[in-house]
Amino acid sequence: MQDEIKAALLLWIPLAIAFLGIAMQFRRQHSLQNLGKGCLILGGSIYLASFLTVPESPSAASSALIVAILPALLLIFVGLYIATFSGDIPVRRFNPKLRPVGLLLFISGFALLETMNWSDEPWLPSLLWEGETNKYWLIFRPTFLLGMSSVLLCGSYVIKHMGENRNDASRNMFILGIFSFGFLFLGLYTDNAYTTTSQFSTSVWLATSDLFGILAGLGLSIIVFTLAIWQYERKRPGLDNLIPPSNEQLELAAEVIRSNIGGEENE
Amino acid sequence: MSEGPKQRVMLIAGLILILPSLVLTIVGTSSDADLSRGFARFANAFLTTYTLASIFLIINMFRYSKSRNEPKSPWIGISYAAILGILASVLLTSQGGFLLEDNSGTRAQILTNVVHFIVTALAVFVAVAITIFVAFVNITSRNENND
Repeated sequence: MQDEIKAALLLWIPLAIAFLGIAMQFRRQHSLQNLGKGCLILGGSIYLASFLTVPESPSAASSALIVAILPALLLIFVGLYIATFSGDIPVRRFNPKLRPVGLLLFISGFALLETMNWSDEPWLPSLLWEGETNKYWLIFRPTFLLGMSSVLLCGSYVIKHMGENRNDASRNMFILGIFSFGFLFLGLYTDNAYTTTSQFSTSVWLATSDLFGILAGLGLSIIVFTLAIWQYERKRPGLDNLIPPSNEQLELAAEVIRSNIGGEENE
Repeated sequence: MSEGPKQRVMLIAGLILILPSLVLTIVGTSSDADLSRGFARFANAFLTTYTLASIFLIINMFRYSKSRNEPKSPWIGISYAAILGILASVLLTSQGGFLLEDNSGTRAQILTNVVHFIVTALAVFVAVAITIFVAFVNITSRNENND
């Protein structure tokens, strides 16, 4: 009982606070958004520390995994951020010379994530939990690689057909998609530092089931609420059948437009 | 792009999206993977996502009800979601305790599902974010090369 209370206080309640913080980001008031950011940082930090504070809880293994992969994820996203915002865009934030550095950081992050899986060198973040492979790593890696290959291959096709002169971008995304799919295949036929081929085959199968379950659950909930909204929207008169706005309504609309128009006078 | 080819592109894109999963499923069935837990995982992922997404959409229905002056709309949405959720749960659990996976009780399974969902959602989020960034990096590099 004591352990359950400890887990609730140091893992589940902070997690709920972090979710509340995310939900607050959708509110319009800035004060609530700021409060939400505070909740997210506080709740998220306590949750991430739970593998130290409540190691007896099986769910704490998830925080151990997130902390272990954090350096690789940081390298990936910092690298991509630098590479994107040093390109030829109006909101350029970095010198174009930093672009190769960004790409190098991205490749290093991806390489670190894969090296962690294929080698158990002591200087690498550990993927072990209570002497065994962290079970959440067996969920994260196949889902990540499968999700990345699916989205990249799909994105490669869409980008080629939805824009002009996008062949290079499409080709690079296709290569990266095939690359991540190749890592999945490699795992199916080669043992690595933490998993056997049999374990990995099972975890890939479970990741596929997981992704289809998520898509089905998300799709069904969207359909349900679309039906509820459609029930009200279909009763509304069409735009042609609406009565003209009154002077008072026109003044209100003009006031709203005035308060939202900005920019220079001479534009 | 006109509406017809656009729809065809989106349809093919949807098929490409599930293609890697289908290939792995075919490969997986011929390997020595333990496939027996697949349906339980699908059902748990389905119920967890359905519940969390419905909670998020219910909150949004309250905002919709205010903006459209339809005070009953959230309750209608909740009723629909609850009825369908109960039906789906009964359908999925009617064959015994197979949804428990490695856990001994329902509460432990629910908590496991939440943490499992966080890890899976993180993996999907990272994959999608990388794709978006990679697309932007390539598009902006093309502009630079053209100059």
